Amino acid sequence: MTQSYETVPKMQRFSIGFLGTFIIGFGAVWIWVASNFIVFMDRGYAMWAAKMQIAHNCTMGRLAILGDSRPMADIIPPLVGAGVVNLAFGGVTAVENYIFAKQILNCSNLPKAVILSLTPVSFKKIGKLVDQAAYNGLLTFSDLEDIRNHTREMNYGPYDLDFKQDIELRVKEVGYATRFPPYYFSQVKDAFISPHAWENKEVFDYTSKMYGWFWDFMPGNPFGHSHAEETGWDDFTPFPFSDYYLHQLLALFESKHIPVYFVAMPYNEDSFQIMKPEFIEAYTAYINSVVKQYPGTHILGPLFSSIPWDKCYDSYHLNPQGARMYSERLRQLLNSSHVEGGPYIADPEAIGNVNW
Amino acid sequence: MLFNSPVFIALFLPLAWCGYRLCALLGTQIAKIWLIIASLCFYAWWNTSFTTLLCGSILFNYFIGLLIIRLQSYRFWQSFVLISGVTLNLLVLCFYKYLFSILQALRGAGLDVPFIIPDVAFFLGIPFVTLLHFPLRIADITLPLGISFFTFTQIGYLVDCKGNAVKDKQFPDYALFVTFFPHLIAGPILYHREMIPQFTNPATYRFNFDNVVLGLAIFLLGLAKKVVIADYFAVIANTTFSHVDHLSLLQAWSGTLSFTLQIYFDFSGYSEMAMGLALLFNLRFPANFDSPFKSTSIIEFWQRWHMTLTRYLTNYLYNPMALWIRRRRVARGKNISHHALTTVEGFGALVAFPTIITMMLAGIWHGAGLQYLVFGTLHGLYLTINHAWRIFRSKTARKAPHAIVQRFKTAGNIILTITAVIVANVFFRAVSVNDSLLILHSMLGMNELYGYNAFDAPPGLIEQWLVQDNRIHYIHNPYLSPAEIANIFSIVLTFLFIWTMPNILQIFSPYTPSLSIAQTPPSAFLRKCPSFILGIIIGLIAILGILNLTNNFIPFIYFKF
Repeated sequence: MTQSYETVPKMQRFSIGFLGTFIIGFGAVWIWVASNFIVFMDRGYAMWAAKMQIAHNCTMGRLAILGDSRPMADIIPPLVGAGVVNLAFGGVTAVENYIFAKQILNCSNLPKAVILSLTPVSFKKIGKLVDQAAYNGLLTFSDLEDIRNHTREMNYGPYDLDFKQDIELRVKEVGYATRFPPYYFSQVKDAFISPHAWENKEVFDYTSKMYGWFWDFMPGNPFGHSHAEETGWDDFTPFPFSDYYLHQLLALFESKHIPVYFVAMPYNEDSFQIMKPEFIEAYTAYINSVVKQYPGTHILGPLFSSIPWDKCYDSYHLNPQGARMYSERLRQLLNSSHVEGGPYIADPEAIGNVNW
Repeated sequence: MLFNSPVFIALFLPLAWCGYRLCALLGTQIAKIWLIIASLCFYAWWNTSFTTLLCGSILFNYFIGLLIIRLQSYRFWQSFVLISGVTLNLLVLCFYKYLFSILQALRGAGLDVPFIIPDVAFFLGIPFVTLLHFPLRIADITLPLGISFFTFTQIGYLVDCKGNAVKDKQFPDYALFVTFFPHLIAGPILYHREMIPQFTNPATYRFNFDNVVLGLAIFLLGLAKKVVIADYFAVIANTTFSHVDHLSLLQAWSGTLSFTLQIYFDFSGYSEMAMGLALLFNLRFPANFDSPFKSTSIIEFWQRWHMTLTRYLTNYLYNPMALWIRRRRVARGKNISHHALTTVEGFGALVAFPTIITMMLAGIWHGAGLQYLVFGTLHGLYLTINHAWRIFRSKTARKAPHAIVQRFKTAGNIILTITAVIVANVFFRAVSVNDSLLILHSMLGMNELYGYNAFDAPPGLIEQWLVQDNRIHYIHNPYLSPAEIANIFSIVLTFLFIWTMPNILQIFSPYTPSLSIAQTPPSAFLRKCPSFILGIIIGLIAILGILNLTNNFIPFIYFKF
């Protein structure tokens, strides 16, 4: 290229303006995004953040509840007893619970016991949920690397990817780990159009105050009397990937001498009635076979039970009234089974904050 | 790998660029080889098996080119080799692009037609597993990415070899000319003679900070056009073109205009990204896009839209065809002077015929569907009418009107040109001619003017309806929905943006970012605009582009051709 005498300084001025704006501007956005998640992420994140803070501050109390969206919605810690925390996350599987349990067990004051509740469906889920957990900051890049390595050893699972997919995934995970703004910009835009920083703050505070419980669903019952997915199953075989991490999770607690109580959340009565006996038998056999391998792990209550429809929100989750009813039922169960850390007595002060 | 994917921007590009800079320190040949390897990796990222096809095609055409040059003194054999080479290239292109569509159409018509020989299919890169599932379905046949572009580039090279226009015969230069990743997938379609001098120039391999900044700025501007504007309109266009059976007038126009704006910014964004990437490597591409919606005629439109395809078709299809016609007319003792053009017969033979045929072929170059043929034919007719208007209109109509009248006339011409393009775009975007006609039917107001807004239903609701009884329920809403108002507003705003803003060639004209210059010189305001301020504005747009990187992830429209 031939450049005239006049264009060279012009180009320098352009370069300073362009690069200066781009580097400073993008850097400022990056810093803002990385330090203000609670301002722009959706309210689901606010609940995640509150739970992650409980784990980070090591305020687990006597009994920690781990699991997926069902215990997350169905168990109100203050109604179960003082010193109970609900650390279950929506949409997660044994994988995320294992990683989260590792974080919890770094604390000096460990819970006396753990309630673990995973839905049969969660043993047949792959990939996407781990992505959500990484997106929200629950899983770090090294956690994800661990998952990948274990998966490779097993030669099975969602991270059994080809070279190209592997690279693409790692690029994305580095993006999550560094909170690279493009991955979060759609949330920033939503927050700009409809600001919800204040609401997020409320959700965060409320979840913290309720020891990890926040009922995060829309009001009403949009799906009618729909059935749980398991009602269509004739058998039960977990994904080896999920099975592996369930064992890892239980072994982890076993190594710390923390008893684990496997609790199954109730199904709505319609689903319960049409659940196939072959599936019930296979699932029960599977859970029994797993529990048998860990002396510190027990099954608490029935693996299959039902609750009336008016206490349900959808095919899986209870509404706040249902959660209240179930939490009280669970407290009785804990006390009658003499679970470690008991007796469990409802916390009247905290209950006063529940908006029924 | 897409230019707008995080893996390209965050990993491939920095690696390719840094590797290139390091290799350039070691020697120009090493730098060339690095770029060839990087480009092949870029291509293989999509489908490794088709990299064999690309490499095979490069080797084949390189040796055919050498043979053509060697046979300089044997005109017959030279022509024979050229025709054979071009035919083989076109056969491979047709194999992937048209054969299976034709076979499927024939089978659809009840004819028992044979399928391909497995070994041939495997050699050409069709994954072996698909061959186990006979009969082969059309869905099993993947179109090799960028096959139209690299085939056209190489056919042009062969023709140039015969025309004695090829001086450099080094294989690395040729391989880099074909594979250089910024143009490999979707153009611009390059000429050997405009790239090889750059590849052989040692200055190309020296670090040039200005070109890096310029390339980065243009690349990020293109990215912003793609991810912020094109992808926004893509969502509206996709919804409209997937529900063609019941569109109101407003929806049909909104969807069609959205697609027109989508393809405008998609292609403009892609062309700028390609230009910017080339500049990062100290290379310049010819311009491919020059504000076509500012055109006052369809002839001008094609001089501004997909410019490298237009010049390719003109040089390698239209001109030879026109020359052949002229020779035939001369042989028959017919007139070929300018006066001959003013007769209907002369105009038909010398202008209309080659124009329509060229544009029909340009249409089916996009794909095997009948709708592409209609698209090409329409543009052929538009161009013919435009040429006829220039030739046959009365002398009084040619007089320059008053300045104000001229402005209105220009505005009218622009709107007429865009309207013609929009109508043709309906055929370009729709999945069939029937769908296109349904949309045009709605655009003419044969359905409701506005009010059916099934698309504005909350996300997930349409799916629920589909689950319930396998059909979409249309809700009659007598008012314009907020989404419809937002669509209208965004369309108007975007057209105003197109008509008032300068393009990349104008903005960066002092720095010659391309081998071509803008058809309209930059305005006085732009020339006076301080470079520092311009840098800040472009820096802000670049930030917007990067921030929207993972927004929708919609591939470039021209990637499928």
